Amino acid sequence: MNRLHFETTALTAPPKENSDRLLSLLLIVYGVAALLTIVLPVGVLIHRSLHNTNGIFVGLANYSNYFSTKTLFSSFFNSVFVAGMTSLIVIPLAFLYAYGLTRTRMRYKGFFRSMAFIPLLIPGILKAIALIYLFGNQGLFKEYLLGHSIYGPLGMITASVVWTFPHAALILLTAMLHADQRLYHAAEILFASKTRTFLTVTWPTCRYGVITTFLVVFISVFTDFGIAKVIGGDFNILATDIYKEVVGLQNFEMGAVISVVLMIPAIIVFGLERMVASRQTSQLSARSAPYQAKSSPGRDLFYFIFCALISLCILGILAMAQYAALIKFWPYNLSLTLQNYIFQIEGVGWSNFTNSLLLSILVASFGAGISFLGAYLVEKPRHDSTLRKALQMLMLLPMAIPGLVLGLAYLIFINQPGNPFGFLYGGMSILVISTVTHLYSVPHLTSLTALKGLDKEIESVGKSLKTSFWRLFSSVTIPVCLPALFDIWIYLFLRSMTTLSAVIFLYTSETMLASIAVIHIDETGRVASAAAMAMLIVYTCIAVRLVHYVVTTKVVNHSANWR
Amino acid sequence: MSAHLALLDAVETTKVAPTYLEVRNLTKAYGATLVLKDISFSISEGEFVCFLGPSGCGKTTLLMCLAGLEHPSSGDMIKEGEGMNDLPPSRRDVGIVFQSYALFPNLNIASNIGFGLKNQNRPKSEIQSAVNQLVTLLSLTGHENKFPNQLSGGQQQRVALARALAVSPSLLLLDEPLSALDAQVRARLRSEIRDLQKRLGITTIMVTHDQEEAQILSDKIILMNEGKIEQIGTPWEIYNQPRTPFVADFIGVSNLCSGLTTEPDHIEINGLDLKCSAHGLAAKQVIKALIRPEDINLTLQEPERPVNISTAQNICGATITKVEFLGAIIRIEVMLTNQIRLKVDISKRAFKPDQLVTGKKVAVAIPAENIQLFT
Repeated sequence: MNRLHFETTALTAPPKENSDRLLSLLLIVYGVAALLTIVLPVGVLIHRSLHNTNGIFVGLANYSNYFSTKTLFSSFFNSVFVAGMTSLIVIPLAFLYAYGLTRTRMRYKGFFRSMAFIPLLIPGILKAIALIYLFGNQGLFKEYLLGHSIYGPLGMITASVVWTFPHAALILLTAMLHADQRLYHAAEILFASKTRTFLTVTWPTCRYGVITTFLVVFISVFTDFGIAKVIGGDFNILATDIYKEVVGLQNFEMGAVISVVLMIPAIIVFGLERMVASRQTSQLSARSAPYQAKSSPGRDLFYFIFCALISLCILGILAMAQYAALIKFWPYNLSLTLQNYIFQIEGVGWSNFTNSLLLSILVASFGAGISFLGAYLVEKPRHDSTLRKALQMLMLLPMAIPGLVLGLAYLIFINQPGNPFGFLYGGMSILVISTVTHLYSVPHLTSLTALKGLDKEIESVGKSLKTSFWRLFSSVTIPVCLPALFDIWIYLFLRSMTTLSAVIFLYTSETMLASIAVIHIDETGRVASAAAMAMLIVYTCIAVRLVHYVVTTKVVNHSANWR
Repeated sequence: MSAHLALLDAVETTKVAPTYLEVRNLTKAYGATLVLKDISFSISEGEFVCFLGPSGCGKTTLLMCLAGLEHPSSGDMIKEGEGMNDLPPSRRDVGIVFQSYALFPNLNIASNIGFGLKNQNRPKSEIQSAVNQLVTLLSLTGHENKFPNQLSGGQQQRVALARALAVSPSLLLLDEPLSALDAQVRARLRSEIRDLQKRLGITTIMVTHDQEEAQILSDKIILMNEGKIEQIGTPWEIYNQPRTPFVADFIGVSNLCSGLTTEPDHIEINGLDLKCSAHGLAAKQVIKALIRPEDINLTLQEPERPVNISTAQNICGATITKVEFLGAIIRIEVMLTNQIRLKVDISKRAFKPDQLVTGKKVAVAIPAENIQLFT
């Protein structure tokens, strides 16, 4: 009760329970982990970019060398061109598609909705391979390109459009899903024309969605590696340059320089995206009435045809990829065979597929658990607010760091002489760590959203009821957030199956993944086998997606009585 | 199973209870902002106390300090003779009910209520019988197997109350428990809470911004404004002897007029000389006079004897400017001949609908003993 004592505790957080101490400790563990997995590797990468091959500090010499080498620097503009063109094409397509799904009375909406997400199950490289079969030098529809080559920007942009379509459609769907019928009624009563209604009612609600879509698509394509590797031909972009410098020329310093050049726009776009996201407040209030499209057969027919065409393209690419994997010798012997699935190529085999499966299960399981607990630590405790804010920033950082850059950073970091984590090199664990880190931000945000759905006083009630942290966590928090956890699991699984950029510098012959094997087989020229390997990924993704669907419906049904 | 349920049958006694909880010189700062300034009060065992005040006055922060969810910057909190500043929430022996209910959405009502008991590893049968008692006590029978979102707001709040009571806390903290409910449910639950608290004899602190709620429920009101305690007292004291103009204005409906002292028992308001109780103030001092609307008498003027300003019995001529029908009472706004506006409440019985209409000349009489002065 002495006064001196209170002066020392003045301005501190409330008294800590044992569980609070545990959470503080965990918070520190997460902070250290974030330093080791993101901050230090990227720091070492930047550090390396300022040194020459002999490890002597040269300041910005590597950079001036880079910017004065026209063949290297031109890749920057190529990257911008491909990313920009892809955005310009995919946004109108996805906008119309999402509009058709949300604002019309078109039939078969459920079917079209699932069609839009099919590309998520297909690795980007496989789309590129399918395009080669369709439009390549010996492609089915080569003549339709009027002498243009699919290898290069044309193929890259086309494959990127297909690859980013579901992402764009998802963001725009969410933005357009919630419209307020009352605003449309008000516009109608005030004699607003259709154009005016669109500009004053429809557009403001999805404006941020369109901006976000642009940023997401741009940066995804800007930093993507796989598509360019397969179909890029002689058209160099930043991502393929990094690969060439590191794998081809063993020039880590120049690889680091290009990585920084790739990372800076990515970080800027990430900052813009966060800014837009924070401004995007829901315009929907509890009083809003759900939008109901008026009957308009002409409009519905237009959107039906449009959505059908898009779906046809998506299915066509998937069918072409499957066909490619089954053909004996394109285009001379078109008989079907399963030979391509045997992979008679040195260093490649079914083990790559099992590696991918193992990696995906590990990443999904650990990633879901780690990111959920991490989000809980950031969101719920009342203590350590500075540390929690810092951690929140660190957990969003992976979104801004391209996978290829992260992978190279790991490679350089772990091979630093004297690094105590050097033993990880060559094992599966480094692939798991880099993939979890690379994909961390989306699960983190998903977990945060789920946790915000719980009353913020739940923890306080738990304490007053003398409940241990773990009991409340396991009997309330986790059950309530279970659907979100399942979603995170499947997201991590699908992304890990198709991931390439974060692991391309870190694998060994024992830990080679299916997605990397596709690149290797493709390099040997046996494209059919590459397609077969990629199709293994597709089958797995579809199967796991179906299992996920059944399990979630069961869980949701089971818990429906309280939802 | 627990002390408070055993107390159910105990006869209510009205002996003076010892001090149960004491708060001394408590302050709380967020950075440079002081949200609680030198708060001191004490509470006896079994009392129902309300922290009352406008939003942002610090009442919830004070409650959170008592709960252990906030830490005061300085000052002591002493419960039953022991300091509890550094005790974490789980060791303070308090039950908390929040405005948002904060029920566990995935557990049914019985599991919600029994949640705290289960932590203490009580035998199943004991938990079951305790839950049954609470379910009966809070009229939740038949809802045991439902989930929170299947209940109405009032029912959910009763579950939250039962859950807090289940672990027999020695102190019950209620953070605006009724604010999210609609008026009728609020009135019913209000009296239920009061009955329950009296039967269990559990010391209870409730935060509210609703003065009517505080007046009906409390043994003692702690009225706060801008982080300070304005007044501590029974509802009767707070209403009839407000210590500051803020209290007078916040509690009930009031006429607050600025004026000057003249003689030892006279004041002047805008030219109107009023007799009041001896105030002991020097002449020409600026004061505020509080006159409650129900203390003013209102009569029709007789046309042959118009009333202007008369010092006799503080009578003054006036014109009706507005008539509001509030049910049991009628609130009439009048403009005195000295351009002062007053609210006057009269009972339904005394109201003459055809005569007391806007524009009518009336006379108001303000009893001298009902004028309260603030300097």
